[in-house]
Amino acid sequence: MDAPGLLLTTAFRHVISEPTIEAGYDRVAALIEGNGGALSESDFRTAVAALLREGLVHEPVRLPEGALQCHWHLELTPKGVAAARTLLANSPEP
Amino acid sequence: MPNVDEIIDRLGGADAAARLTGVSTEAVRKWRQSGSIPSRHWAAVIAATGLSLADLQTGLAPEPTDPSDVPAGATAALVLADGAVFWGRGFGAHTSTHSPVGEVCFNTGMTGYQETLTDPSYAGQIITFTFPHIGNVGANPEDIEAGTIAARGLVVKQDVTDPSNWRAVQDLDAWLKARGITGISGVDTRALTIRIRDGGAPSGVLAFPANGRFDLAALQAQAAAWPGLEGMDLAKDVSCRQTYHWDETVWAWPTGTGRQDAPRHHVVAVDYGAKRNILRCLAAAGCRVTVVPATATAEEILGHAPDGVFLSNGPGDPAATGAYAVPAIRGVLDAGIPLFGICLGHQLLGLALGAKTYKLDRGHRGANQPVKDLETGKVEITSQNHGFAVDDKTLPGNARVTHVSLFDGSNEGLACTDKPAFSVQYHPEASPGPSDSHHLFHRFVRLIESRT
Repeated sequence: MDAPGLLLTTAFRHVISEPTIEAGYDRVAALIEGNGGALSESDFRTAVAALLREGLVHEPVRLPEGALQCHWHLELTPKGVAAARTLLANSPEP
Repeated sequence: MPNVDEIIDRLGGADAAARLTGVSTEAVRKWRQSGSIPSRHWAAVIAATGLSLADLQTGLAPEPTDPSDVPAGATAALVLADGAVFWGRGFGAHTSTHSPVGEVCFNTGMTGYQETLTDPSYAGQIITFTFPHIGNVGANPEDIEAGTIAARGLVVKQDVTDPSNWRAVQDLDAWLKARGITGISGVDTRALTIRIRDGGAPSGVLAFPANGRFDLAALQAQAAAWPGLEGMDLAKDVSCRQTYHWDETVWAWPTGTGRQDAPRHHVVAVDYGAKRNILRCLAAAGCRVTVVPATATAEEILGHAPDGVFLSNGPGDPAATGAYAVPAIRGVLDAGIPLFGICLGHQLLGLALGAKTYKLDRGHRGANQPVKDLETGKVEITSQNHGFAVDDKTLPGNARVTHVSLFDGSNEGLACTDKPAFSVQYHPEASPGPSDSHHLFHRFVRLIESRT
């Protein structure tokens, strides 16, 4: 599966909410590695930009209610959820 | 409303609270003792307990002022009227008992911070730069739009670094210090900008005390007591005090600025807080420029026998400045003298024609704002700095809309149909910003030439 696909399926299965994008990458990479995959930070950043451009994820940098610092989220849009479901349905992976 | 003990219980007890917020259990004991939780932990507390910011603000005692409660490394704070405290590292001048207070706005320009800071239209405002690297090209004696800094302070993301630019003669920190202006770095400017975008521009106070002690309750009270820009006439504060002449032309590499020694037309510029590059652009377009104070009457303006009259940019509420500016502008319009306005000058022309102005929720500030010229269909990327706008629905029949913002559709330009007068909300002189709209100064000159 390509990097955007890995991100979509990971975000479909897990809540990714971290203080920064660097921490977000660490968490996503750990989850992907747990499933036997790998994702470089550069591919991760490119994939996030592509998913955002295509309207598959919400804007990742957000300000939680009342907070003084932005947080980084990887959260699928309805279109992203549908894309992730299609990927998982067509994927032989568990 | 939960007290500190209840909040600590909600967090799962003292050990869990300490673990969650990254402090020692001794610190948590201190919270119980003082009856408050330092604001730097509120985000974690809110996330873990489901409480709101209001719960924390109203349910707890005022912020303690003990220096040991200031976050490690923090030397400055931006305190908003709603009690939010953005801690950071101070630079520039230390603040005294009366910390600078103003409306906290944001500017999206990626370059030209020195020109932005010296733009008189920023009077009464604390500027948040959304571009993170501010100060990296230092300061020079040429990129200034006024002799003094009218802005109340600045908020930036990254610490100011040593300058790296062949034109720099000073670092930003020293330049600000010499002018008594305070900055704060290390702030999450994205978070602050989102607050402004979603909730409007708040009042705020910048504190960078030399002794490192912060009276947060007093700072919040100072911010809350500030009346805001609406209804405030600031043009009189930043305008020149007496008439002067201007002949410097725009900066060009490698010779820098030049002199206009063969002017073809005489323009009187009414200074509501004029940026110098406007005057340079007028001079470069072939004008001899006489600058008069904001309070100049029509008789005083016409007494200079101008070929054209220019209404400058400036700060504050146009409705307040209009009290004395509108009669003067109407006098110029009645005399049939070609007239050109920029920014506040545009709003004042609108008021003089009978239109109304209103305060924008978050304002337009930056050097990357798209504007459509309705006459040509062309789009120009413009430099902007305004918090008020002309309500184009209130324009009379003898005025037409010429430009609109492609960001929010608000009015960006107008022209009279029965008088030689036009104006734009944005800044064709740039400084900082793109020069797409420089041609408007030549349009003004052509208007003058068509009448002579």
